[in-house]
Amino acid sequence: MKAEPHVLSDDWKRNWQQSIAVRISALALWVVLPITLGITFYFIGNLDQDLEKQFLRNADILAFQLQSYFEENSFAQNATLNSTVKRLADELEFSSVKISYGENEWEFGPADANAKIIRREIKVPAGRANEYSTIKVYAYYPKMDELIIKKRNHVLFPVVIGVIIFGGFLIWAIRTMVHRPLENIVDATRAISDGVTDLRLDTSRQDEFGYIARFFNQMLDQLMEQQQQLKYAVTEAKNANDAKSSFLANMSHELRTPLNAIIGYADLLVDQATDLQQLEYVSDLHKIRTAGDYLLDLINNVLDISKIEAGKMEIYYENVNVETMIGDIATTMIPQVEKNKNELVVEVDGNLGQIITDYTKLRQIIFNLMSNACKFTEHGRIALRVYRYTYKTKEQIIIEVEDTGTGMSRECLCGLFEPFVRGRNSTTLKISGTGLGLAISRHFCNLMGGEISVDSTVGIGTVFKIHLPYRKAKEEADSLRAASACSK
Amino acid sequence: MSERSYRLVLGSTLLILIYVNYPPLYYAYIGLLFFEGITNWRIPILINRLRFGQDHIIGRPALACSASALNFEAERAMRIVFGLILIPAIFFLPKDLWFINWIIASFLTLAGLVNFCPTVVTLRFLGFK
Repeated sequence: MKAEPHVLSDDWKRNWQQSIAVRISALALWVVLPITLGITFYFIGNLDQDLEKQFLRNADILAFQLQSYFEENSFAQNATLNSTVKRLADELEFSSVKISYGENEWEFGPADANAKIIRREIKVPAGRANEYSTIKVYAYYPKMDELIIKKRNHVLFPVVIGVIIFGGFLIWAIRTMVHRPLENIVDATRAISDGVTDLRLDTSRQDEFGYIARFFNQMLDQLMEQQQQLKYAVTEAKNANDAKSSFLANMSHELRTPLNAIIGYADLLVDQATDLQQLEYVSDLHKIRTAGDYLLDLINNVLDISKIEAGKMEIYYENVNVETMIGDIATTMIPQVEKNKNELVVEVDGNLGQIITDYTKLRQIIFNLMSNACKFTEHGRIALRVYRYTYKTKEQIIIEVEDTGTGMSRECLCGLFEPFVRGRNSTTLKISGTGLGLAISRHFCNLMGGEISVDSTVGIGTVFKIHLPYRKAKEEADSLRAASACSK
Repeated sequence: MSERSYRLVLGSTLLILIYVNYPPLYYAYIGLLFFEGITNWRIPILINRLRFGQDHIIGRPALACSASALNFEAERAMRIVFGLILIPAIFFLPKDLWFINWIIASFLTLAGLVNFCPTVVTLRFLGFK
């Protein structure tokens, strides 16, 4: 089982033990302390031998000092001798001193049965020339064990406490030089992420943190500037979008109204001319009518593509009888089909019934495709097929428009569905069109949850296929369910 | 009380014992280490239970489904290890191993100061919790 992560508190100041200052100090101290202790142990490792040697030297010094004293003063136990011996004993760290002269012994200091003894003999003048008396001096020093421990403590305690104080100083120094500037940077970063934008770091330091602060401020300035530019761009885009919507709303009416008037009056004049037997004017009026229709188509396409790009195009789903719709379309297209001496074939799957789709847009798509097929086919065949198809458990309705026209090369197919792109076949240059019909058809298909595809061979023909999700009309579905319930 | 603070207390106490040099106190100190290590009634845990209740977590939180190989806490093991190291230094070879006390005391004090104990880290590396 995977271990759960150790979650660090968001308030990082409470995790000061994880801070760099403490970690650096820990690293330094864990190097300094063992080395310092090691060196100290090395120097005080032979403390017992050193003390032994020291006491032997001290005993020699004591003997020499006493000999000097007895050469200047005659031997007599008096206050001067007491104070001299005691002073020497204290200075030389002997716990007590015993002097033996003849059969007499004098002790200076407390007796200690466990103390170690160093014996020295000193020769002092006896009073007569060339005669010397021997005075034995016994110097007592305390138990080495306790003395050694005491000496060690005197050396090691200051060392350990010194290292700990050094550690404290190191933590303080690193905290001041490293941790506090980092703390400021973290605080500033946190404030900026909370939305405070007018914060800047102090750039007075001349070290690496000063550089970080300077570059941090620069980065912040650039970010603020880019944010302003973005805000401005968003405002501009919004204004452009609003302008586009306004254009669509206004121009749609302003452009169509006069054109409809032109087309309407052209029809009226054709009727009047026919009634008045002024047939010479009819063909001209038909040309006005045709030009008007073409312009109206153009305007509708341009407005549609603008609406699509503005995201304002909506789908209105309704129940559509497929057979009826296809029949209407075929009837409407017969004049165009027969214009180039083409044959129209219509094949509709009888089981389609009613479906849910946008009638207007689907009609427009099929008209576009049929219109293109009629334009690019002469003395050929144009087929309109509608059938159901199941693709990966999804039911689709397929509408095919196939022609035996000029066809398109692979290069012409590239970008065919892009706005204002027409096939680069030389024939297309002679045939009118803005290149918006297929772009609009593709967008409508996508909006209805489907797609459009094309396959073409030069000299053979072209097949356009519309794939739409097959959504059976609700009423027919309800009636089917009701019929199925009754049969049980 | 955190384990970190307690290490500081343990280290400082041992330094004081070295200064005082009174053997019965050494025995009590080693006894405390073994008691905590064996029973896991560690003083920081006991103090925190008294202050905050049963479920308060101190120091490094126990990880659910931890990857440690041994179901034995490194802090407990540390106490036992230090106790075992101190025994020969105090009971058997005090003159030759006198420096062990100083090392243990200094390292514990430093570990408490900087919250990094190499012994505990090593034990965790070896598989303790």
